[in-house]
Amino acid sequence: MEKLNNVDKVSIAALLLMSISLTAAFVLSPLSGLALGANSLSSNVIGTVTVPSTCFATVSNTAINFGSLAPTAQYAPANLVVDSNAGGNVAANIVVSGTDWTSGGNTFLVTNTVWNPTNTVTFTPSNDLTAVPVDTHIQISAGGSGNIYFGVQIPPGQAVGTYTQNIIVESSC
Amino acid sequence: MNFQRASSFLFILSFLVFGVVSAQLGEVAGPVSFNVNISSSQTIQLNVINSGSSPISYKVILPQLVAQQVNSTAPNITSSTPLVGTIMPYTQFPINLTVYMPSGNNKPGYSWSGVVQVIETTNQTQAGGAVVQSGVAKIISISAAQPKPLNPLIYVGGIIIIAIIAAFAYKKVILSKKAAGKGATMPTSLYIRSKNGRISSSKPKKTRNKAKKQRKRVTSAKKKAPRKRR
Repeated sequence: MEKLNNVDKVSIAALLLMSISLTAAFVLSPLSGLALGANSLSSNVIGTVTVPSTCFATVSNTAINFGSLAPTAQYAPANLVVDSNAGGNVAANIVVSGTDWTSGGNTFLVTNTVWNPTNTVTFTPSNDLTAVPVDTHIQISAGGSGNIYFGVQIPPGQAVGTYTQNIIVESSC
Repeated sequence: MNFQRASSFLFILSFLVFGVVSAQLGEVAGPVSFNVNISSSQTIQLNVINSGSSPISYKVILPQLVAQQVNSTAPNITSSTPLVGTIMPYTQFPINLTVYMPSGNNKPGYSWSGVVQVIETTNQTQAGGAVVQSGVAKIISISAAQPKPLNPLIYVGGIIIIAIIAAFAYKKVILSKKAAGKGATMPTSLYIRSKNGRISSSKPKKTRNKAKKQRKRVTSAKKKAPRKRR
């Protein structure tokens, strides 16, 4: 068998490369009929994302000071503005709940706090704040805002003290 | 000019304060309804969103279920997600709730409702008055469904397992019988007395067939042997 000289080797290598490149072009040519170069590679990746309905709500302040109240005194109304965060895209229902009032070892019931969608907070009849969350039916549209008013009544004979309570305002949708 | 500076400073300050105090918790909308087979459980994922740029410490309060029927046995609600933790900024945070429906007095169609609360926890203290916490609430409803029928595959699997055990047991019995037949209970040697008075012995481990063959051999030899004339 004849030995190949360097020129032959180079030409064979070139032919091999050409054939490989041609094969590659044949395999990878897109079906969509786009005019692409022989060695171009194109692929379409379809991205999908589902944006669900969401709601947010924020409160205007994190504390309500009802001031100094004597037993049997009533305080109303304390206004709390609730905003629907712009991040949401559907209306939020406002749900409220709370804890008992405490001052050291002294307590009085959560139901002494009342809420109302308007500033006409009444104590009889009243929407009592409860430990179990209650739907106020106050609806805040996406990006909108609304008000909820709170009042408190001190029970007769309540011991002297500085009482605190947690009021929980939540969005629900 | 000074007024403009002051107003812009106040605006930035109010924005910063608002950004700090306002809750950024939200939720994915939609009802959450469990339909749980009696003596089974079901898991549903709630998604809570932190749309703010800072982490939010949260606390999950599982619902106190209100039954629609008297004398019902309340389902058991648990969360595999920690009830206290932190939600990272711009994150959709899943809370997995599992409801187990005990059989008790429950019948299909019995239902309960309650509210799952995810509250932003703050270290704020208030010297008198009310501390306002914000969060998200999800009203959930639970209903009891018929107990799940046992999967027929379980029956088939059980039958197959029993069949396999029976086959093994049968094989073992056969093998032990065979082993017994090979001489465990046989006499140490088997003596065969032929009609012509010869005594042949066979080893006990040999089978009966071998003894039979020997007996045959003896009888054939007897046939071949010429009779002595008296």
